[in-house]
Amino acid sequence: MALKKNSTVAENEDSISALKAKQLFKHDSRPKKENKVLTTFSIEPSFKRELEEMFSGMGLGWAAGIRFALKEFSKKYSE
Amino acid sequence: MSKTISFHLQKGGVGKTTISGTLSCQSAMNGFTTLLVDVDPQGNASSWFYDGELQYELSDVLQGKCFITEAIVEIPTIPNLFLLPTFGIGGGLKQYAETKIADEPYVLQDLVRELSGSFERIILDLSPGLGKLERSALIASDEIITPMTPEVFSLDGLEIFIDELEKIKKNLRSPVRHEKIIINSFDERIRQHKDIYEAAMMGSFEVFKIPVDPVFRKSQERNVAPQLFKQRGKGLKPITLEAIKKIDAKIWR
Repeated sequence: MALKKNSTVAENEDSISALKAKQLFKHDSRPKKENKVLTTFSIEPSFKRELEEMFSGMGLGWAAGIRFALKEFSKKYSE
Repeated sequence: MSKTISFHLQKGGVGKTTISGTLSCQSAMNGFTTLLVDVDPQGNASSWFYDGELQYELSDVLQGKCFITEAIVEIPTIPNLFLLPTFGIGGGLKQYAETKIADEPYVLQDLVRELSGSFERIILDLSPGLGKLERSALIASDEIITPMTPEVFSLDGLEIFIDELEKIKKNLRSPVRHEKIIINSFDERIRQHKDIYEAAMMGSFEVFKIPVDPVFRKSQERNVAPQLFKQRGKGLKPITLEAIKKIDAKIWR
């Protein structure tokens, strides 16, 4: 009688690589990145243009620039 | 504001030079002045992009034998891309790394600081290993991104690298970030690859993948950027180009 493949076992078992990967990334204890929340505010158009130009010179878009600026502000005044 | 990235894992054959070179090209093609610094004594990145003879290399700059501007070359086929080369044959980087860098571990950090006034983006291409040269390059970077292949030795390598990097950061007082990994040569038909990718997605790393694509190897043989390589009208797969653009869009933030 021909040997029949036991497909259930093969499909349900984790490979050595999968086990190792799960173990490695599970033990990675660094804090997960928080999800961002959407926030809105109003600003004078001329000031917005001024900021956009400055951020653009730094290779940053509007949102990335605002986040960067707020982080720098926070670093400076939280000490 | 300039940013410096090293793509590193001490294990060989995971695509450090391929990814460094490809993302350098992508950055330059997007209009950013980009410098690829060849910190590998074998000089593969240099021979990939520059097919000629040069007088000076990285180790000459580090030892004060020439000015930085004398060693940096513009890559003619890729506007905005510059190379600080290392000579694979007759070069001095290996000897410098073995004899002198131990006394000046911050030499690459100083170099990067000087270069950051002239280049928007800097990529350091490192050789495998975690010796003094690689350590010096790692702490000269703002961010380290780890390329790995989806197999068990790369996982072992990453585990070791995470552990070693913590020590390097502590001993050399470095704030370098290590938050992203790139799973290279990914083949979605292989279960092992999918398992590793899925497990990585559950961890705290930001995970990217680059599909397996023979054009990388072919472009290196022909000394061209993978994005510009065409053979019988065919170049990189659309899915590969998409992956490269996605990584480029994320890593420079």
